[in-house]
Amino acid sequence: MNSTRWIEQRRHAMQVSALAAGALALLAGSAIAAPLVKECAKDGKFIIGFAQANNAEPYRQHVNDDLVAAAKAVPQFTLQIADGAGNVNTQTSQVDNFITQKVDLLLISPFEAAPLTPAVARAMKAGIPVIELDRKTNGDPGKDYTAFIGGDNYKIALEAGQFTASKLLPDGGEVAVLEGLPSSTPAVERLNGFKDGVKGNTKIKIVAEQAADWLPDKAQTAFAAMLQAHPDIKVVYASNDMMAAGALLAAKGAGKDVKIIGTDGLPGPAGGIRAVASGDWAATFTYPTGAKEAIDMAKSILLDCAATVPTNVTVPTLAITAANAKALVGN
Amino acid sequence: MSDSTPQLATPASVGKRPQRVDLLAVAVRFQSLIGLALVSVGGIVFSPVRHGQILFLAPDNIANIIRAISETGIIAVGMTFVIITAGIDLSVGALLSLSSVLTATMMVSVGWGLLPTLLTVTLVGAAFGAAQGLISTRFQLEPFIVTLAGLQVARGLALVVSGNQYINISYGDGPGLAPPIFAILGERLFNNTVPVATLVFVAFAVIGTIVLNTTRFGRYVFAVGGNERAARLSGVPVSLIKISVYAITGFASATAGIVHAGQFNFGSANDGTGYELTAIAAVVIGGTSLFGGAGSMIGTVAGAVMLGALANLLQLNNINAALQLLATGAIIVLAAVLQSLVRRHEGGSR
Amino acid sequence: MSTASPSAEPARPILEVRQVVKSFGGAKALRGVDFTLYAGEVHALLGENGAGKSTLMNILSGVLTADEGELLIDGVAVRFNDPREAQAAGIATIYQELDLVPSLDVTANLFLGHEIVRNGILDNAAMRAGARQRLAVIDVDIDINRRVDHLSIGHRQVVAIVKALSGAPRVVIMDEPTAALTASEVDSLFDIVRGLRAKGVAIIYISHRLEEVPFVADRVTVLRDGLVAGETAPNALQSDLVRLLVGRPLDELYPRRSTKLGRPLLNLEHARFRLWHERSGWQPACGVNLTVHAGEIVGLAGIMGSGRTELLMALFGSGLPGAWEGVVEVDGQATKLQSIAVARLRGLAFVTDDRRGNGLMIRMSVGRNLVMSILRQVTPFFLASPAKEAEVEERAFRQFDIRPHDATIAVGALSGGNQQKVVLAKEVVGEPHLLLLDEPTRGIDVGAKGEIYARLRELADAGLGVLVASSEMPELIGLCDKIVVLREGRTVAEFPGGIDEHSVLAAVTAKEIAHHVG
Repeated sequence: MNSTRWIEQRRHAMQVSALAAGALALLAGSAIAAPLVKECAKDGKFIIGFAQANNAEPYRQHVNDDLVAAAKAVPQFTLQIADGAGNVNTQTSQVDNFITQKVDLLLISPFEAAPLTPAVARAMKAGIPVIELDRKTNGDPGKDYTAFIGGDNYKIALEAGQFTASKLLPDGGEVAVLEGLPSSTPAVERLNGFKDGVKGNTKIKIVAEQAADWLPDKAQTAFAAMLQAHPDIKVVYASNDMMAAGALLAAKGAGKDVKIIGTDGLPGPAGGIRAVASGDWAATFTYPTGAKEAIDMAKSILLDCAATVPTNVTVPTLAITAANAKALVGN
Repeated sequence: MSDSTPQLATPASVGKRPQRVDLLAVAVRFQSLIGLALVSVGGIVFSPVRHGQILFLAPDNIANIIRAISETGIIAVGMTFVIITAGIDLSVGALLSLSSVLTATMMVSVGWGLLPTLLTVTLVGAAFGAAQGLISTRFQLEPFIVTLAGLQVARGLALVVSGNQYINISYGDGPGLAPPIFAILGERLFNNTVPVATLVFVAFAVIGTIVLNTTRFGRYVFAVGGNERAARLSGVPVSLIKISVYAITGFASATAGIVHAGQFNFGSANDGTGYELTAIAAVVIGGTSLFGGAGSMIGTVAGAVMLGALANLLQLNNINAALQLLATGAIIVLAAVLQSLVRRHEGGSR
Repeated sequence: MSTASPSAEPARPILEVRQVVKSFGGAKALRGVDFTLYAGEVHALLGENGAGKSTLMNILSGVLTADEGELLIDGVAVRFNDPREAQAAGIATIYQELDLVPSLDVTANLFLGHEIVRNGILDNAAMRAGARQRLAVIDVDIDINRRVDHLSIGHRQVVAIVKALSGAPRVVIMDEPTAALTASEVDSLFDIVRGLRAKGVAIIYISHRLEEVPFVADRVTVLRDGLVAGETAPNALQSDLVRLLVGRPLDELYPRRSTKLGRPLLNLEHARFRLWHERSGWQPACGVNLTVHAGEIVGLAGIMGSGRTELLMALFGSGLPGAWEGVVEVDGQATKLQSIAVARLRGLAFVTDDRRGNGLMIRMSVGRNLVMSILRQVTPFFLASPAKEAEVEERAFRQFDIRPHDATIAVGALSGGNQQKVVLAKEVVGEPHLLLLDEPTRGIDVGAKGEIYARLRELADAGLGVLVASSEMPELIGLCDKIVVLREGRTVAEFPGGIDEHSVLAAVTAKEIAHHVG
């Protein structure tokens, strides 16, 4: 029930921004804008290339699964996924290959922003619309690439922080943070978001803060050490689900009852939703894949010959807590 | 059976070596070229066709292939020298990353010009390699261990220099901006067809081939790998040659790091992971023996291009990444088996 | 044909060694050696393994530096820190394990370290011309574009010699140059040596083949235990030379011979080992006729590359993959001996010539090494039984008198002789019927040799058959009841023990073939 409401909520958010974009286009007002692609048609056959950053991350696999499912529902679309394997050089060459293949639309989750910017520019120059998923390249949406669809790392972590401040530790206490790969943008954004989120409650003290590079084993080691140094830690915020899983192992090993918050809210037997449902974690905050939204946008570009699309779509997060986790596991 | 006259020595088995041995040796010598030819034929046959054009052969696509392998190719050229001396260098990927970080830092944060930056970075790379060679020869340590340590050191230095951040390069005049000419590394020349990174790789390969095959230094590299003791007794400065080949891989890695920074407009301490293995694979597929003493630069280049072409072909046909790894693994094993067969035929010499 | 006196003895020697001392760790390899060399003479340097020949040679060629003593060239004291310095001083060395780069061609090898370079680029045409010219001096037809590892051993030797002569040296050191050569190759080598002598080059000829000394040498110096044991004329009696070499009469070293033979343990008739993959540098057995009885020690003679080692390895199933053909019987039963497991099951044991490389786990303890080939017996229920191990170790220590009597120290810390005893003991504890040995006394001192010989005889007396391959002719003649000569992988002659060395040697190098036995 909650899940349907969540989806409604997302739909709503998108429609709002779409309306806003449409209104903007109208305001701009000049002659009837041309469609984004020339060869658009209701009954055409289209190839969509997706340049994924790194299949080895479970979250990215989750995105792939969602995309495949969403694309399957549109018989006109064929989806090709290339794995950048966490290497900007590989991903660049894959974008180039998609250009050579003359795909009709390019979806990309760039492994890093600046390095993939030239490749995206080449695609745009070749007349291929580019929808960026989850991560952006440099430049402006609507100009340097067609659109961006993704969650907002800062906001997600901010919500996690606020949830901690108001629900988990209203009376304050010691909190630890497990950070992702130090130099990556989402790691920084999630760290800052969480810190800002707990600021509302002055009785909360962040006593430990360590990078665990998104990895469960590093998280386990790091959190075990934190618990040694600060036995009174009440809550640990992990910047992704895998590190939350590592933190749980460390807490169990130390015989401590620590409230754990994950991020991403991955489905599946090893995912965060199940961990919350089983009571192991206090909460996890979904990082939406945006897959459905991306395919919808592709439909409007390729099938409906849209002249404009919303250029910046933020898909909101959903807090998964004991209240809604059990219901979501079913899906 | 008794013949009492002094008989002429007939060293059996010498001279009447079966013909197929030589055929096999030739096959191995040119295995990467043959492999490249096979992959190319496969590429043409299985290439998707769009608008009447064979995509695999499209000039754009060939440029894509060579651009994609230019960084590992540059490293593989250096690696060929090291492996011919029966050594190995595992530090190349990390050194690439360190060099990209240094390049970005110097131009963006420190504000150095193009030339001082390039000179310093390549010099640091060569010095890093030379230091590894020196430690390995001076203390008689396995290059495997020394360069494994070098990998960690380079990665660590890269993290320190970059302060755990990606260093983005923006272009222009003034503080915090890199000279715009540097961006040429990411561009394509000649009517937007030939990537500049590819040209750097081609230049490296040509110079590498000339040095290896026609200079005294090249001959010494083969001699050190073929029989180190014999080389030493013949007056070859063995330690110096060994140090030099590691300096060459260091220089090559630094160059690849500069190309990386120029192509992708950033320096990153996390890039270049696994490049050492790709480079070694290209060298081995190219017919260079890990036991040292034999090898060819043209083989290495063909090996690198072949790996790139294979990856490209598989992606053009939308075949998933796992299969690509399987295919690469199979090719490496095949190359190694061929070499082993030749070694067995040639006998004694390990 | 011996030329006893040097053609003309100049007043001053070209090379002089005075009281040279060299130690490795605690062991003294040279304990004050004097040695002189004149221009235009061939000076043979003889000595058993471990006598100090190679150490002296390495000091002269700059590979090692002396701890004490002087080196004089033309009366001037010199000191070589590097082989290049020795080469620059006019001393060229031809090493036994030919120092050529196998993967390079003949031309590249000849010019290694002295390449002709024009404008920074190798001038291959000039080097090829030079190579042709140099080889033409020595009348041997060798393809200069061929890789060295594709040449016969004899041709490699020639290339090594030509390479050494490239610097127009005044002193040439040759280390066992005939070890791997066929008879005609030996003859042409001697021609080369005589040619050099005629040009006034001084040659140090290191060998342990006493019989070839009169053919080439003008003078003979014998080393023993790091000292000069004596200097003689090359036509001295063999027995005198042996006394100088060994330090005691020949007959004391070897145990008495066996008198009674048991049943045949190993019988090969027209046996041939066919390799699955052809491979050069490997001389597979072809046409081997050979019988080893219980209680008998049989020797295998032959030059390097005649297939001695290969025959033993093929019998033990441990060589290259291949199959035996012809009659192969162990203890009266036909067998294929296709793997080590089968050979062991049939009661065969193999003692390798390369004890540090193939024989011992050099860093493991003596005890662990001793039980290595019988692990199954000392590990009931897959668990190591210290009691059983100790029992085996104790037996081995007593039987072979391994010193020190301590199973826990690393085998690498033992002396060469005691290591060899461990290698032997490790096989004997498995109670084989037939013992195959390859160079059982290589690199160990005379005392330990005597002990090994005595143990082997005891084992034979206890009913074992022993087949021993050796390059030391006196050893085969003194120890064995029967000597079988191998050439190019086939048995060509058989002699009784105690026969004179000349006859065996003739058969070995194919000067003439003697058939004492059918």
